[in-house]
Amino acid sequence: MLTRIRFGGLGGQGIVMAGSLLGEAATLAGLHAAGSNSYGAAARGTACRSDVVLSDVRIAYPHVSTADVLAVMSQAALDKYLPGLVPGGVVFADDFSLQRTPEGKFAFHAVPATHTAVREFGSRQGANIVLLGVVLGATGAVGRAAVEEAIRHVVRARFHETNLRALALGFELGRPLAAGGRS
Amino acid sequence: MAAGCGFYAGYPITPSSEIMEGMAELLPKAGGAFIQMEDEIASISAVIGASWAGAKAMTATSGPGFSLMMEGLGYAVFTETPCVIIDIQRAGPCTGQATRVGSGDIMQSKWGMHGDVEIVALSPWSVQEMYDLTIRAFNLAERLRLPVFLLADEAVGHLHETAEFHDRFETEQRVRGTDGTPFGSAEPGGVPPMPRFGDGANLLVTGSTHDDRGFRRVEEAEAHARLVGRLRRKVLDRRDELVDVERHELDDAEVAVVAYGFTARGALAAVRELRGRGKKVGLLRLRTLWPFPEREVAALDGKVRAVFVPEMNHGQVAGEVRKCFRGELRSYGQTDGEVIGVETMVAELERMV
Repeated sequence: MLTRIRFGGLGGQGIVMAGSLLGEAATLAGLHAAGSNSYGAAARGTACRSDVVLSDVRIAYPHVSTADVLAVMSQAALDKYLPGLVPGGVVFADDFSLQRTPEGKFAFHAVPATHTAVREFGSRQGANIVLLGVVLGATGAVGRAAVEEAIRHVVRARFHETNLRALALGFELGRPLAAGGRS
Repeated sequence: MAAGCGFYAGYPITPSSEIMEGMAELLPKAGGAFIQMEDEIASISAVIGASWAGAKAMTATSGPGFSLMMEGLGYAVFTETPCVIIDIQRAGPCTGQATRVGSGDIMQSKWGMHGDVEIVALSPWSVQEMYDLTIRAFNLAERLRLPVFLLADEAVGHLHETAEFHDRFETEQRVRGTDGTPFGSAEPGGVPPMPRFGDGANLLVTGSTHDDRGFRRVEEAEAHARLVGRLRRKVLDRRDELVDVERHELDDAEVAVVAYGFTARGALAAVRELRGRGKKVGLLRLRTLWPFPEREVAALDGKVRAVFVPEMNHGQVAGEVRKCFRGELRSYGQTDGEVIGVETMVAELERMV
């Protein structure tokens, strides 16, 4: 089993945090994980990417050349990383920033990550965790309990409740997408 | 810290700052000392001072900071001061692109200091080796009384992956001694014992040419030739224990990749992919960059028809390979701030086999 997951978006959206939590969760679940991030020198607003490789055996090459799963929070990230998706791959795009629905040999899911965060928490913060929950709910790459444990490890205590709730909402949105196809 | 590091001085710089953040948090709790200096010149100076005070000392930086450290590093070589410098290489020259990868400091680590020096530089390709080779760097620094470099690149420095922080290693303890000749040895490549300040050795430490006891000898030709000669030989005489390479799929290879750092990891993936298609390619991975593994590269001569040297610079190691290998050499330099893709190396190698 080798799964390569790429998160893309803008600095400040929590893209790197989503990747870090996934890698930490995978490790807690007993998998091998490798993660790498690409971001600009500015803290916010520039293109940002977080790649995670999950495997049940040692990972020889830790970068993502082509992704099996792409999860994006900006139209620019979708446009940029779609060519690097394997044929038959899966795309999850936050519908808040989606301007065009792409066509191609992949399963495409527009998901209300930001809308859910704004509705539930009154802020866009948490949208990255909703999206992470969607990805894991749909793909089953790592179980929910491990991600919850990772959140308790990585995230500051006062944000635990919000993040755990965001993750749960994401899993709920993701599970019906498990069969694949479009939505 | 596992290697016994008790002092860290540094100035934060992407992509090495995570090392400093970790040391700021952990080192004082373990009884060590951490200090953020005003710049990298002060940082390397503090590291040198701490080493003479008896501590195993280190700093971490990236290209622009490494440039500022050059004068201090020359002083550390000449005064035989053990210390470890981690350079997480980023895209240069100058400020370049702070968050992007590069591997352009290979020659600088050897030739950035004026004068003829021999140093040791190691090249990790994984998180595990950031741990293992840092320990090795401390051990070699103490054994040789020398600054030892860990020349990582941003792709390795910012990599997250599963690793084991084990304790299956020996740590080298500094040979102290106060016999009055802290800068001389009867052996042409000998490493003298090193007293610390306060040991009562009437210690003189100078960056000028000095005799066995540390007295300045700035006009005696013989004193300079002897000191520079010993500092070179203490590294070169030990090249067999310092040089560390890995050989992958080389036995029947017709084309060999010579690579190091993160690029070598991609090169191995490319070699495996091409092997799967029956192509006879192999990899010589350089885990030591200085002293340069000349014999190991020369051993490819006559065994493989051609070598391919992919680097995130424009041929710094390819030039060294050229000195040892007489067959066809293809240098591939990429300096766009991205790692060299596996598919790129596969495509380049396919043109050679």
